[in-house]
Amino acid sequence: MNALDYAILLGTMLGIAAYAMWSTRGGHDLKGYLKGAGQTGWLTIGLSVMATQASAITFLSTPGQGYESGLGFVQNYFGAPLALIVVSAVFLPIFRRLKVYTAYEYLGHRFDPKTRLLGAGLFLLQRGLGAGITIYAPAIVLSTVMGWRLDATIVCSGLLVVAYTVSGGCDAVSLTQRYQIGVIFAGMVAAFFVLLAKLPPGLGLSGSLVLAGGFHKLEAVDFSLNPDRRYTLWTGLIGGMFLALSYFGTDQSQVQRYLSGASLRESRLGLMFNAVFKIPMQFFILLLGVLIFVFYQFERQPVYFNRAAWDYQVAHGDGPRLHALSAAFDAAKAEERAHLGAWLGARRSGDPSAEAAERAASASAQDRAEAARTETKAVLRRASPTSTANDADYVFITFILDHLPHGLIGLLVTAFFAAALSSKAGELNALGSTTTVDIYRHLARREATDAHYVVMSKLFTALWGFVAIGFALFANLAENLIQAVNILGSVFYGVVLGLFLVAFFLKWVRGTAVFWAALASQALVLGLYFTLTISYLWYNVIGCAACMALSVALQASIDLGGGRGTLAART
Amino acid sequence: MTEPPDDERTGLPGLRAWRQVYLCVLVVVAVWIGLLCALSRLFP
Repeated sequence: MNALDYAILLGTMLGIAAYAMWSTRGGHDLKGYLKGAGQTGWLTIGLSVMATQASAITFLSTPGQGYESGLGFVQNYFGAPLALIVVSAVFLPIFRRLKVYTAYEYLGHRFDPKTRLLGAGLFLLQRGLGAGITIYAPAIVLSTVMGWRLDATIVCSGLLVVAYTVSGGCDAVSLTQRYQIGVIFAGMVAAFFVLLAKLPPGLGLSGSLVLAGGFHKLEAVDFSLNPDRRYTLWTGLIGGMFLALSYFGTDQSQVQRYLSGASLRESRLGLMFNAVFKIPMQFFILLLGVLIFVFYQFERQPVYFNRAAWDYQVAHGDGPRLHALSAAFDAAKAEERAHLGAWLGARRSGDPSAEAAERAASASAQDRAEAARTETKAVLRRASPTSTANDADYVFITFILDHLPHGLIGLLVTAFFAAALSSKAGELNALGSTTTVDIYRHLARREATDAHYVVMSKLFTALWGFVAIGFALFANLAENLIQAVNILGSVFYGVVLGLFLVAFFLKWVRGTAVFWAALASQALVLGLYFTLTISYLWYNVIGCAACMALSVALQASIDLGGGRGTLAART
Repeated sequence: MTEPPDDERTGLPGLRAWRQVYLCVLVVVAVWIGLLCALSRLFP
């Protein structure tokens, strides 16, 4: 990065934060601080919901996923529009009618205070533990590649997001997210067109798609019913809907975004904006990765994109083996490039048989190159088994730094930071609100002035911000912790969704039954987690189903017991 | 015929009820999935 890139990075990030703080300056009442001034339009809500969900890792890692595995990952988002329709039709009108600040406040209205505390507690535990990851994950990738100090990257980006989130509350978060997502889109679209321009002459988009299809990178929809397949139409529609319903319907970081709408209509349109554009957005990011794959078929590429990890293991680990694998990879890639050049020539001259032969030969060379890359990853993993670093995370940033012009490098690095800060701000805003409304106001001080609650909300938001920064600094020493915390999130999500689905759809179930059912379901999920080896995504389904089924059973048993009691009293 | 309350209005041309909006979104999603299927078939 040169001075221009740094100027774009610092100018944009500081400019957006300063503008948001200036625009939202002055006194706030609690409603204004937690839900905004009530003037937020549908576009801001839509972009804000999108920005909260899409973290920096979405934009850093997803192109890498497209590079490695093609478009199949897009199926994970097929259920999201269905979930957003359910949230818009069922969840949102109830939240707005009751004028709640948090989703968990609704549980208090519908059931009782203890169920509300349980919902809020599970959210705080899950989001609070994961608070540092949104800052840490992009910081580790960017600091590794740029040679920046990791701790300085974490502290600087963390303090910036804490400053404007604490200062302006919900409105500042929505306002910054609107501009930040604009920067992200501008960077990604610019990268896409520069990448297209850098493809070999005569290849173009259609030729790139033919080539990518030949390497099985365009298999976007898989109708297979095989449960071993990770991404299929069915897991995307069913599992994806389940996950999205948990996230958009019960996670306060999202609920707070759409509750800030000027009216029910604005909130609904904001959600429908996401329902329409979520799939094409993820497709576009994955397609970018697929085109990077095509680009690297004609350009020299490293056998392993995380150069820092590679250099370290060459110096301190099995250097000769890694050099041998790199040489085998380079030789296979050179052969592949020669065949692809001939394929391109045959394509131009309209010789289908030569075209097919060269494509088959290039695919064979690519298989050998891929085998060398897989073996390299295995050697590096054996040398550093505790590392969770994924080489796919480094594909896009390596392409950006090696092949994009200055200015655009600055814009894209800014886009990654914008994504990190926008999702972090949404989380901090939600953690501060839930701690204030569901814990402090509910348990510690029920009758205080609005001004007092606003001050406490700012304090709690800042506190969660410092916890996030501290965790991110500590995570440097324990990378496996990140995986554990991600899993922990899935372990809690299902039961929380179960609480809300019982509240909305099982009207005869009351607080005591659902409270004990949720606790028992959470214990069951934790027990299964420590004994089974199934994918942790299934715990969402198990937790929700168990919570609903046990609630019904417990309520029936309470009603039966009550009926007997009443009968006994009468006789 | 009574007008729906302000919050119930969609404000979208041709889509007066939210049910119509949801149906339209479902159709758009189906079209996206169809286009993705077509992409896979066109470039095997």
